Amino acid sequence: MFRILKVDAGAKTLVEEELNSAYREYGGRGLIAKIMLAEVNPACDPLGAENKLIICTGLLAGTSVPMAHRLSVGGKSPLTGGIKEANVGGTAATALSRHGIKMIVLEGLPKSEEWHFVRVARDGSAELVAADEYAGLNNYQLHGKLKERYGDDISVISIGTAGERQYKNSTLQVTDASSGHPSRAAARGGLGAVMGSKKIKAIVIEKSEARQAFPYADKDLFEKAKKALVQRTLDNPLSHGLMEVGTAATTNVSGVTGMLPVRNFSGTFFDKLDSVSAEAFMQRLQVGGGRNKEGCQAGCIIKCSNTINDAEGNYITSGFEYETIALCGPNCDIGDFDAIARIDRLCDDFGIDTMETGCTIAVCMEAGKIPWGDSEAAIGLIREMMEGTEFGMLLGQGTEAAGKALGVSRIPTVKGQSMAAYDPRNLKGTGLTYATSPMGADHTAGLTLLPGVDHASKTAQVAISSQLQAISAVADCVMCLFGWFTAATAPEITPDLFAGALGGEWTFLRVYGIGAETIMMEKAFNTAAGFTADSDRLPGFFYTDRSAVTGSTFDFSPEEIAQVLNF
Amino acid sequence: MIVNIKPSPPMIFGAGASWRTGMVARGLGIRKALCIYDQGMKDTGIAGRIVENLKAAGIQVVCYEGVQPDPPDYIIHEAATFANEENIDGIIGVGGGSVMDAAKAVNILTTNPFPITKYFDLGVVQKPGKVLILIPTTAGTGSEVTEFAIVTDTLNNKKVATLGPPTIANQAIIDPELLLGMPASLTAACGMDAFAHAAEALTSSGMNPLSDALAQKAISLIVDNLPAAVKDNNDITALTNMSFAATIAGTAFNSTVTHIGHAMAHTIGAFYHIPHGVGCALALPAVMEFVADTVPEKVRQIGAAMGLSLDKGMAHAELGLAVADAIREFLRKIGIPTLEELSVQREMMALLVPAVMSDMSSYFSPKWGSAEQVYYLMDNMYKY
Repeated sequence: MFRILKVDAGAKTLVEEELNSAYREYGGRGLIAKIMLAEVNPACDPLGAENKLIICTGLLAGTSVPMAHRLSVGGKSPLTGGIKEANVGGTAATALSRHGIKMIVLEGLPKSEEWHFVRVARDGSAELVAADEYAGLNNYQLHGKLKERYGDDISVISIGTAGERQYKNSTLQVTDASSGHPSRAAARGGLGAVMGSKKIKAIVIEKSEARQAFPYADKDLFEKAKKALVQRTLDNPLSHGLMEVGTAATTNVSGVTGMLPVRNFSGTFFDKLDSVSAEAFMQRLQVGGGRNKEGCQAGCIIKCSNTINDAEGNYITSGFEYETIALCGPNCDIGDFDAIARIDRLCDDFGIDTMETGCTIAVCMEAGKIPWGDSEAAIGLIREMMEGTEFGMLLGQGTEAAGKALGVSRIPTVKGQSMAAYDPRNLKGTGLTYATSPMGADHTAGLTLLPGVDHASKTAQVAISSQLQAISAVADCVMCLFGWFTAATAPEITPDLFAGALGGEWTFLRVYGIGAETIMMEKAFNTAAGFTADSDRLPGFFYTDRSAVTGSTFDFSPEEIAQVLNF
Repeated sequence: MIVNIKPSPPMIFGAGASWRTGMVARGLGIRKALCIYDQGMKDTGIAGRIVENLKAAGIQVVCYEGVQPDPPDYIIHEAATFANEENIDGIIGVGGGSVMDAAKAVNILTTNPFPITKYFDLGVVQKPGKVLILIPTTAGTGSEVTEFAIVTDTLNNKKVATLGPPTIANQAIIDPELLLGMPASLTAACGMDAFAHAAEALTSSGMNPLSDALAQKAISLIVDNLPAAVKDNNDITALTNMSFAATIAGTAFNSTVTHIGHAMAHTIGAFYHIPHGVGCALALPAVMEFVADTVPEKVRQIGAAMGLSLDKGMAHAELGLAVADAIREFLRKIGIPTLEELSVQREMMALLVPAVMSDMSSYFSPKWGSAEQVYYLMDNMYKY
């Protein structure tokens, strides 16, 4: 289970190795942090020879526990200048695990202009394949051509032309299990650009002839824990909204509490809330035979995702999620699912982060570059990025670069990355996560939307953000966050899952420690990369401008912020 | 800062107030009541008197006598099953914190589906239960006025709280006469639970001005009356003031929630079976030193409420130490034992740190300490 593929982009070689035994207790985000801290110069140029792009699976990959096959993509981010892990669903982690491949590392920098892709064949052998004919293709067309060549059952990790052009908002896209399309995004932090800098267009994984068996330490113990966890997950009320609707259900909560970002985080109510509610989503879903309850990875038991069609039943997009809906919707004063779905498709195809893109469009609207709510003009900006016009290339540098160039004073970024779809004044714990996470303004790093808490109040938020960041970091090493919601609150089950799979003595504290250690490694990298306590701040306007929904500002002092992640 | 202040139930207070239980229950529409208590309340005869008082008012009464300390979930289920079979329309809980918490939890299960574990910690919505009257017999946990009920989750061997607005009583009846004859060590422990409620309410990150006012008054009353109540368990003036202090301290922390002192008490209590009030008492001085740099004005208010003269120019660390030492002296005065006397080994403190930090009460500390800082906090309990 510990095969690794190392690509030297300069020498154009691919070698296979076994994962260093010192790294075997790490997976996903933790493995990335361990390697980055040990092997990559924190001061390096993210688009240069010293940066690595690390693609790896989680600690329980290859086992039968549901949702354990998320893929982690990491390196030094061209957008933030710090360490970055982008976590994505889809079929790739499952396909790699079948081959017994733990990790693929792209290193070095090409000396010539040729493009390549990595191919893992059915028999498990791996090679670099010349890919110049695929350069210049965007993800949908690329995946189609690769399927023609290698068969329908391949899994593909790829960059669009955004990554080829090394845009700082560029993604890696992964094949979605349900739709078969490249709609799962390793989106945040511009890692597509790192892949593009190494002139690797894609990783193509053919389905392994035989499945590599996982070396369970105690299979009976594992199976017992897995069964209990599955039942607990299905019974957990927190799973139900995701199962019935999907992440789009979140607008019903965020829209009435001031968390939903509206017109570049203006902190007001959205006047078209009914058009982006969970109910409106379910209605739109039915048009043209769209579907939800789709899993992005095989074996998922929550199946929170979806496919959106047009009125004639033609596919528009899949993986149409809350963050995209909110940041490309109400944050841009757009209340039209059709337009937002088209934006989602364009972003996935071109290979740019819908979240960064939504925030970038909104600052352009604030600058008066295009009108608020004008979805055609918003799509026009995306087309400029795709065409690579001068303005498009600027937009491809992300929200902060675009906002500064346009003279916008309200730019919602931290450490250069745009915020997620939660206004930090009204979900204060997540505001603290934005400020302190080594990932930059990131919500999956520590989303604090727990029931029964006054989220516009400072009370307990430092503790809540700290604990949730640690727990979420474990998720990024092990399983989909939505499955982890349950596993993290089942201390009588979860340690046995680890003990049964990996062996050794496991307690809940040891599990939690995976997250704390990961974050501490990331902080060490970022400090060496030049980040200081002053980077742990939100943009000034959140401290001074009260949200009209709650009357709250983000009123945390630097001393209070310094207590977060104070492990 | 915008604060959240929760409502309190109506209260009837004063020596002899429990004589009104029957009349009040009838007025609230109760026709058949479950009276819930423990063996201790049966043995003192207090439970029997309340039952007779209810019957005299024309109310049918069925009794559940089996509450245990930190009520286990199966006790709640047993009592609630009985209550539902008997078709009661009201519950009267008479006893200490465990009895009142059991009454609240049982009440949830009269109108909401079993098991009680569904309602632990945050957010699960409950329908209001039947009419609930709570009568404290200690001073005290303040449970008669709060929306929390601590139950032991026996599957996972931990104490969890059911909480939410429907959990709160419809009526609290606080009768200091029910405290007459209480043993000195119990009076001292319960009194310090109330003191800790007040001091933690003042310093909690959920603090608010109403809780501040009530908590300061509670501390003054406790400092002035607890030694006398410990010395003479028939001193009705001291017991009256202690009753009132415990109830208003409960009202205070109902909104603010307690914090790291209670997390420490829960942890030490779970590992070493130390009475809750004793754990709170031993934690409190250390907590004062811990939070003095973050909420110095509140620590100063605690000191002032105790009657200390604290120089305006005092540095934060000095202030914390002065208030902490005053509390330590108070604990000696009322006979609270040391951790050494309770056979709690000092070397164990490091091992308890993770449990303290993962107890949700600690989230409400005004200062979120690192593991190392929390270790020093725990170790500081030995300074007594």
